[in-house]
Amino acid sequence: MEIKSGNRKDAQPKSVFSFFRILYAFFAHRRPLLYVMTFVVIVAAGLILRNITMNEDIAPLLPDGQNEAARDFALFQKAPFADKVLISLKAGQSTSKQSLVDTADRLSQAMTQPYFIGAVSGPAISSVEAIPQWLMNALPNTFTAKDQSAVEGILTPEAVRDRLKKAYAQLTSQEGMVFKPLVQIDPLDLKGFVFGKLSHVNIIPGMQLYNNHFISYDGKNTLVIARTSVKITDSKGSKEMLEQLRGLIKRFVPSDVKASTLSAHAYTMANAEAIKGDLALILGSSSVAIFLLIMYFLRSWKGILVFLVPSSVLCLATAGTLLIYNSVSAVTIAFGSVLLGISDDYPILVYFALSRKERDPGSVVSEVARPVLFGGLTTIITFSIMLLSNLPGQRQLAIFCMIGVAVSLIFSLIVLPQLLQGLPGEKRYFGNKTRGIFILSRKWVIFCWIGISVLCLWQAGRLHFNGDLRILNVVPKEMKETEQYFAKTWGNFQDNAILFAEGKDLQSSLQTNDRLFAYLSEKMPADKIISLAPIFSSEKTEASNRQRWKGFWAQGNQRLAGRLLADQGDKLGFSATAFTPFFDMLKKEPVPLTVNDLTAIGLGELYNSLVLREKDKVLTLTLTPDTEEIVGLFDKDKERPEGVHLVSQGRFRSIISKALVNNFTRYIVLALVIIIVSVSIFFRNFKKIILTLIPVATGLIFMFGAMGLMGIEFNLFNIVATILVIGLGVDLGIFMVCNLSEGYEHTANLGILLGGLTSFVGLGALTLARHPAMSSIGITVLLGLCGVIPSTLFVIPALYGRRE
Amino acid sequence: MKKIFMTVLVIFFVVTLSFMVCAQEQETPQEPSKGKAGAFARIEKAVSTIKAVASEFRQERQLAMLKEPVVSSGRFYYEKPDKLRWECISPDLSGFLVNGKVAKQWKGKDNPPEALDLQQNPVILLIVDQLLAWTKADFAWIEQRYAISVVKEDPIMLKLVPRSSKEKKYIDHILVSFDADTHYANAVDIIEKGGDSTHIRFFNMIINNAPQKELFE
Repeated sequence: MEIKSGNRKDAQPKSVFSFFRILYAFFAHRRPLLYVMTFVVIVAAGLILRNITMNEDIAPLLPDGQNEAARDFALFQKAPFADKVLISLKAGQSTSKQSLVDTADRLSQAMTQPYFIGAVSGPAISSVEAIPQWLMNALPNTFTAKDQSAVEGILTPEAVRDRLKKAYAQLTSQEGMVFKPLVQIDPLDLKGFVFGKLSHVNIIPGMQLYNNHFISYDGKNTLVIARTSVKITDSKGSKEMLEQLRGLIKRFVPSDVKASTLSAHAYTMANAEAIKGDLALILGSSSVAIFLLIMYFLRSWKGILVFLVPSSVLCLATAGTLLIYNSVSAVTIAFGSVLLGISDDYPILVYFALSRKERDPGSVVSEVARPVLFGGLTTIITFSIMLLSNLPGQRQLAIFCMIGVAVSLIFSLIVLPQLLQGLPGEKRYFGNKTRGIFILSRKWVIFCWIGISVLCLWQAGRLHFNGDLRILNVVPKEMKETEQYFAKTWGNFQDNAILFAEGKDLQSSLQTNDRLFAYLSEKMPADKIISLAPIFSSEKTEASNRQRWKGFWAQGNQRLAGRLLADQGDKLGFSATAFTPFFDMLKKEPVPLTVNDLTAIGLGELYNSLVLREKDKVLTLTLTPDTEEIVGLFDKDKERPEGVHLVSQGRFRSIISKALVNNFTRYIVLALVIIIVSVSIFFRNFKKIILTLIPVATGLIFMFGAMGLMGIEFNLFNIVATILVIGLGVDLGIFMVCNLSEGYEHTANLGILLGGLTSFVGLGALTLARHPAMSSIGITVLLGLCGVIPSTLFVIPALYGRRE
Repeated sequence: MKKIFMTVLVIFFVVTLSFMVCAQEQETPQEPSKGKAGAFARIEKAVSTIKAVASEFRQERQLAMLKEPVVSSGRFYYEKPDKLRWECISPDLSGFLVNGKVAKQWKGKDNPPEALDLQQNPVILLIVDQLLAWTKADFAWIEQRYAISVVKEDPIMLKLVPRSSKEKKYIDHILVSFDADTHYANAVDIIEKGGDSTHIRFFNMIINNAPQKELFE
């Protein structure tokens, strides 16, 4: 900052900052030593970066920790198809159903290690003939009170006659010999009760079976479901797995059959690709733009030295972050452009301060160290607030920025002055004919500022918080089309609410699941509930059902059934012993159903999807439509069953939104407290404190107002944007108030303008990002800077009044 | 001593020679006109001239579950190579037809024919495959699925025992009888496990009078 002698109120710098004058003098005679030390540090950072592991996972963008959002998010990953790969094959014009399912078989058989654990194109029914027997075994185990009432209703002459007529038609049809054992053992078609319950385990609503294959209702699509060992957060593994799948599809699927793939891995890969692409674009464009700005304004080759400070900072901040974490997220490195834009403010100000030759450089450095150091420290403390974030990516970003700003301060106040003074060449700057641009009518400035602020405050009331993390996902156009195709063909099976019935072991979990099913059946249509409970309950429930079954037939109903079947059967032509197997079955002790029974009829995979065994607990899943009603039930209804946890996109969105508002409030309050305390310590003058905060307040009001006006929703990543605007605003505010109170010179204004513009382009580069999280931050920070920079350059001077 | 030895030697030679002669007689192959090969040859010869068949049939199912056998009658049509129509007229109207890859089924006089997916109806598919195999005398196909033995040579009666474990669950064996003069199949008896049976008799058979196209549409 440029200080003219005679204009300064206080001629002596504070004693603590004279340390920089001493340091300057020390290194002035030992410049080679300083340069070597600097070089060694940069080389060491380079060596650390040689082994850098850049993490393209999207895990840093997801909540972690023990809070509700992180727990819910972890539970989401356990949804039935969360970790599966679904391949839908659509038949061509001339493709028959049989050849379509044959293609599905070939593809599923080819999907093997190392990426695929297994793939199925239909339920793995070990024996089709076993199904009728299973149905009869399942009957006593699933015999509810409702079933009992229904069977009582069947034991009438009319109902028995109707059923026997159907049985007779089946028996005498072409397929009669296949139906015969079924008719003998179940003349009353009681297995229909079990059939009805099987609908509760049809997770994919648009699916039916054809020759033991999954097929859509129009018969033109078949489905292959594959399990993979690749985690959904592993972007590299996801890419390799999907590439292998593409190769298999090319090899085994004929050209007239269209294959579409749906899996979380595809989203992971799309996000990672976007982040990687953005990295190159953002860092490249921001570096070039900042360099050009610096050279344009500084008009000296020494501008390169100024640019070297943020460039080195980027390298050192990445290396420093790597010392704390095992790997650096690609998102963090992409935010390097942010760091470029922030960390060049300090060397720019030092350059401008040293651009006049008349004064002792050491004194100038110690004077400029005051606002630079305070501004930098305030920024560092403001960034530290992000260490409280639930997103590991934001916490790492905080460390990255804090290290970057600290390194920039050291380089700007210790190394750069020596380079600028020691190396030949003039420190020039953008000419002095631009004096006019900083002098505007005071009244108009204040009037416009108040008007715009009021307008923005009004619009800020429309700001809406959106906790939906899905909007921060990259979803390429072709994937959106795939989602729509799957929803249209197979039904919407991915947007369900999931209820986890927890138990310390399988039986306690199933008991909770039984209670849950009974509870939900009273609150919503039963056909909307996907649950194991109707066909596979806890042993306790099954035993109770078997007891009910035995009791029912022992009460005289067996005799009644015998009489009715004999009477009506005789009229229709059945022999007296036609239904002996049915009565033999009633005499036998019903046996419990086991998991092996489910597996034998092809429900093994389903069971494994809906019953999850963890280290110390078992979770049984139930799926329902994701509605406000179901969320309301589990948030408010005191009679809901214990031990059940609901996760749903709707509820998750609401949790994140609430957390967003809470965190936002917490962060803003903390940030404001920090900057008020810092600025108070720095200036100890009420007027100066208020003026310093003008850019912060204006930046935030403008940012929220513009977002409200433009309908931009506030998301989890905009908290980062808010912290950035606060940090930048306080920096520029401190610099400008120091400039005004300790001597006005338009070159310092140029320094502030250049600092603001480099921040603008550094952060503006984020708007070029494909990744919604990064572009979201870029847009909102730009809006904030649109308030910060003009208010710094024009409003503070206008309000300050007489220049000192 | 010498006399006893000579007697034993003679007996030994006689017995040995006798065995050799008997063995030789057993090794003599049967003539082609006899046995399974002969039966197949006669049937193939009869069927080779057939381009179309129209026949009436009477089917009687004897089921232990029913007091009386279930009797139905109808018509059967076939046109080379893959057109088939099986039509029950009494007691109820029902049936199915196959025309290449297209299949239809109907039940009751008020219900129009509906598309039939044979892959979803394995029993009807089996019947269709059987009928087509016999009308073409595709013994290679039939022998893959059934162990065939000749019960009678004249008129020919063949016994088919299923090889497939799935089919064996339902069917014990099938008897197919052929007309003594024409060697066309005129009766099929399906004996199920447990004793139930289905007896089909074909009569008023008209050969090579092409049925109307509409019958297969």
